[in-house]
Amino acid sequence: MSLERAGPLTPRRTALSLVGAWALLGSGCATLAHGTHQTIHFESKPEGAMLTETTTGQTWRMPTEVSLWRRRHYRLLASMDGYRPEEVYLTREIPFGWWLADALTLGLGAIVDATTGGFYELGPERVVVVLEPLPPSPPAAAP
Amino acid sequence: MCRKSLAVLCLSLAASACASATLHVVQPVIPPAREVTLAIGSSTPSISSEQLSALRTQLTSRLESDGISVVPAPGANTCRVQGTIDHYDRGSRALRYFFGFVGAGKGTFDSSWHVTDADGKEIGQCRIDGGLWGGAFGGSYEGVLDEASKRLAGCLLNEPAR
Repeated sequence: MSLERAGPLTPRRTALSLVGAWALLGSGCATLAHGTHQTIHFESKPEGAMLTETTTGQTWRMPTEVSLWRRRHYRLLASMDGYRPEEVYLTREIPFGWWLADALTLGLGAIVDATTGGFYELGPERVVVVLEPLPPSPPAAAP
Repeated sequence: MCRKSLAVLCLSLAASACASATLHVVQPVIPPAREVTLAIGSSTPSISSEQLSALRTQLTSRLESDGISVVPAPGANTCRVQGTIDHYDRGSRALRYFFGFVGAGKGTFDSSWHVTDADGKEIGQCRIDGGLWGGAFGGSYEGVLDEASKRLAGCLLNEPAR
């Protein structure tokens, strides 16, 4: 379609074009701005406990920094010999700013950000796990 | 008219982002507790063991960020912090989203905290109550827990205004 056939550029058309361009360009703005992954710092007391992601079975030794996909819910297990294992849950939030920004893109941004998980913030960003020592086991009875 | 409606809508959205927690100091923590063991129990069946575990992680991480060392086993200068969750109601996010402005779907959190020194003498006591009325997509209950964590740090450091 040629520009002549599209007709004159009226203020109404200009405004509509600008809104359309904003909606397209701003789509998934949270994804574009801070990516689909977030780095979370994990540390344990005492140091050196293992951290296991219960879904995938992936493990890390704490302290460590792990890049996690914002879209997923995380349940992790911190464990160490002689200590009671501790479950760790990360929360997943949509900050108001991203919610508003996506609303301004006529919902297109929300679709993209929801698909990629870009508008979620995982928390807390620094996780400290304190492991309780297990009570000493009673000595085995002599035969 | 349209602009006014939009402005009212935006202001309503901003104002509805309400997660808060209030600290009621029963007995100020003197001296401030800078190294603690943390034990959390519950007097309500509405909090699951998973939620209790998540809460412990959130509280521990916040206290550490605020300069309070949470240790696994008590030492000579360690205070014991014993918390009891008296009320834990996450409310309804959907109700808050659509009808939060009339108080529907409200989430609530009530807890009590006792601090004892290494000799077992009580050196402080406080209550932390929180609530959630709205917010983006109905707001998140984790916001209340985060506010409550900040208030607990304020209680332990004897800085209620924190």
